[in-house]
Amino acid sequence: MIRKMDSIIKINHLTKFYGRSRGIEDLNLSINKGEIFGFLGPNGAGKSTTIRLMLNLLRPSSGVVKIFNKNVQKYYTQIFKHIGNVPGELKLYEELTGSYFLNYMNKFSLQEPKWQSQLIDAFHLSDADLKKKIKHYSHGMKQKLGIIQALQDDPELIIMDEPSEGLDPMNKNILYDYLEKFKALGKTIFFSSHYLAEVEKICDRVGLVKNGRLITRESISSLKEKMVRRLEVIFAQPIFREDFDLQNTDILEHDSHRLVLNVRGNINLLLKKITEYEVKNLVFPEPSLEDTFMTFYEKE
Amino acid sequence: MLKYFSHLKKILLDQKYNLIILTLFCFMFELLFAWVFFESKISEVVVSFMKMLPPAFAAFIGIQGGTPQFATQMLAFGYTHPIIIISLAFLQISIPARYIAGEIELKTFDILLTKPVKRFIIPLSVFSFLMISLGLQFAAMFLGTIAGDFYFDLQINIADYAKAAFVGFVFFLSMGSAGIAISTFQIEKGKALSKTIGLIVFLYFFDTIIKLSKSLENLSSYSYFQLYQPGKIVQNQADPGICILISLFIIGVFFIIGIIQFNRRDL
Repeated sequence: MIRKMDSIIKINHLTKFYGRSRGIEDLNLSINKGEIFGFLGPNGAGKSTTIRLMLNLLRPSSGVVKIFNKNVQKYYTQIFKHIGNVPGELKLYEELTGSYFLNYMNKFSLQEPKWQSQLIDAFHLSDADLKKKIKHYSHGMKQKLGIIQALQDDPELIIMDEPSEGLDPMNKNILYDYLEKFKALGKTIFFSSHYLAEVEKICDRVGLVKNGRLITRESISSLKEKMVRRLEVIFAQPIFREDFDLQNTDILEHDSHRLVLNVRGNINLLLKKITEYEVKNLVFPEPSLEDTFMTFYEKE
Repeated sequence: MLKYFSHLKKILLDQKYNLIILTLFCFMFELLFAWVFFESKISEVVVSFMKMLPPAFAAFIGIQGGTPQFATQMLAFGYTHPIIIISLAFLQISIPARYIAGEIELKTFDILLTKPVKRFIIPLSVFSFLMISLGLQFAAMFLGTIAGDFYFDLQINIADYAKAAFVGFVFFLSMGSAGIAISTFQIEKGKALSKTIGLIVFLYFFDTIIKLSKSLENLSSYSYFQLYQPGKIVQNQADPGICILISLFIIGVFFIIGIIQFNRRDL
């Protein structure tokens, strides 16, 4: 049984070099019980390397990964009883049928496949689908099977490396619903992605990784505060550019009746300035993590 | 144990057709060997041909045409015929490459080995499969010889062939064990295959040169393929106990190397 504790995953000074080339360097991270942690970064940033080190598939050059307060390298069989994993490059046994594969994987975990039938129904996999060999599955169906095998044994910690890859929007939502459900049950989820919108949608905290280093850890709300948001206003009357030259704004385009600018953080002062004029139209889309992500990258 | 049996069962299911075909082939080969050389008219041609062979080549294949031991030698040759060597070595070379290096290459271990499974279960189940496959093949060959003896009344000492079959079993298992060790160092099936085949071909070539060259005869005790000489075993010219012991030693060393390397390596 897992003892009650705050940190489910603790990564201390984790470094991995492949010969001379860098995988990750001096990465420190702590993931709390019951949270959904988003792990973001572009291709080659070190996301998959970090996950593979957490799952004992790679040996670290230095540093330690502890899951459930135990060193992964030493106690991996005890730890993995409580982990469900969806790998980044999902490769299944092509010659097996879907149902054989799920039961085969379940045999290794020695747990009751508590969620199996529910997940099969939720992801709309029919009996006929499950009787087919995996080599006849589409990419999306393979991904569903990968997700089901990870969640079916009711794991305490779910590690997912870009799990929504290949899923259509409907199935993505099914996945997000289940992750919310698992979170409500006190499970911890480590979710790697380069789709910022989905991280924003489901994660409590996020870590941004670049060139093998963790550049920031933020709650989604504080990240949003730091976000750069684009605003476009069309005025009914001519404006003075200087009125909008504030500390947290960058004017991108302007003419006598139109203004396009980036605003960071608090928007109240800017709104006050805008309302001094008669506004014809205002376009202020939902903040995207993409822009913030790029901001962090540019800062580095 | 359940996890080990689950993985072994999966390999057996994957390879069921190969296993059935190779086992039947081994049985039929030995049975047909007995028929071709002792019942059909071809045997007369073979005896005449053997008499014409240069002594070095006759020594190489271990058969002296026209001698009283011809029947015994000929049947023993059935256990070392190049086709049989290839069919026995086929799974020993390809299975470790497929189920160790091949799975690392395909990244299927990314799911399997993130279940609560000790890593050593992978090489152990591969080794167990190799044992089962060889056991079946040698049992089939031995049964083929027994059937030949029964139908064609060859008057051979069956116990000698049982010894030869058992020596062959441990000899080819040592080849499989080397294949496992080599595969644990590779990340691609192709490389594991080529390196294992390369090693076996080199050792076979070395053995051939030693057999054909008088001046290199003194190196014969260093030749790997000298561990499997059914012709000499059935004529009591080689000690099967020593062959078995050395093969077991090779099996142990390579298997331990394989386990250690697979346990410590990046996947």
